[in-house]
Amino acid sequence: MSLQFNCIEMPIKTEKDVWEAMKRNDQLAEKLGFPPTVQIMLRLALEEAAVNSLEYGRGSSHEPVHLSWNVDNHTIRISLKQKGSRFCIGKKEEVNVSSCGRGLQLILNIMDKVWLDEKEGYVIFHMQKSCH
Amino acid sequence: MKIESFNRIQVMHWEEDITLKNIELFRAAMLKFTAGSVDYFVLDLKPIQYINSAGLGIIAESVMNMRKQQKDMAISGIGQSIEEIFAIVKFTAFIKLFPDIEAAINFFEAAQNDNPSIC
Repeated sequence: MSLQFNCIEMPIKTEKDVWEAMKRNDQLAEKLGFPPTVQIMLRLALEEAAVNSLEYGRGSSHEPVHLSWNVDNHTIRISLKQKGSRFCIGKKEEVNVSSCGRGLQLILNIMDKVWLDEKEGYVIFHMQKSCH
Repeated sequence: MKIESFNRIQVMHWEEDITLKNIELFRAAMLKFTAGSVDYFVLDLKPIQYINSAGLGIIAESVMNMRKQQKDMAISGIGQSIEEIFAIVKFTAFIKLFPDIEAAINFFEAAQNDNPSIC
């Protein structure tokens, strides 16, 4: 299926919103023609990024996280914008046996490209994957 | 969720994808079975395709807690997407993974025979 460049946005305030976003992400990934296993991995990247954003913003801002999808024929770019400043997104290679700290590792391995923008007190976390 | 026991080996079949919706149920079930009297525990994930990082953390913590008590845990029934997720987080480096329940039970039965004192 051919998709024109398109942008969809939704606010994320609660875990229920994250769940809705995961469903919407599945629909977009399917329309773009990502294989089923990759659709699952994209859903996982979205859940991890959105839950991280909610946790990062908790207590510091009442503003929701602004989630957007930018889609063209072969590529999906998911962006999460919230109040805050730049943070480290480096890949770690060591084995993690603890109970936390795997979300970013998953995202960095699933997506083709992950980067941050910082603008006027907001940080925007972008992750992008193409359907090859 | 379904539970089966084979001698000193307990198997928990988890039948739903592990997401933010059911993570607390998964946490409670894992705590109940890994903190119990069982020596060997198998978590069977055959029907599932998805696990989030919180679920992965619960599994890692359960494995380490069981080993502190001289017990052990394995995971069976790993499908394509779960295998890919486990590879990213390097679970193969510290958790016993088996393609099916029978292989996991055979492994722990052999361990019981090698180390009867744990029984």
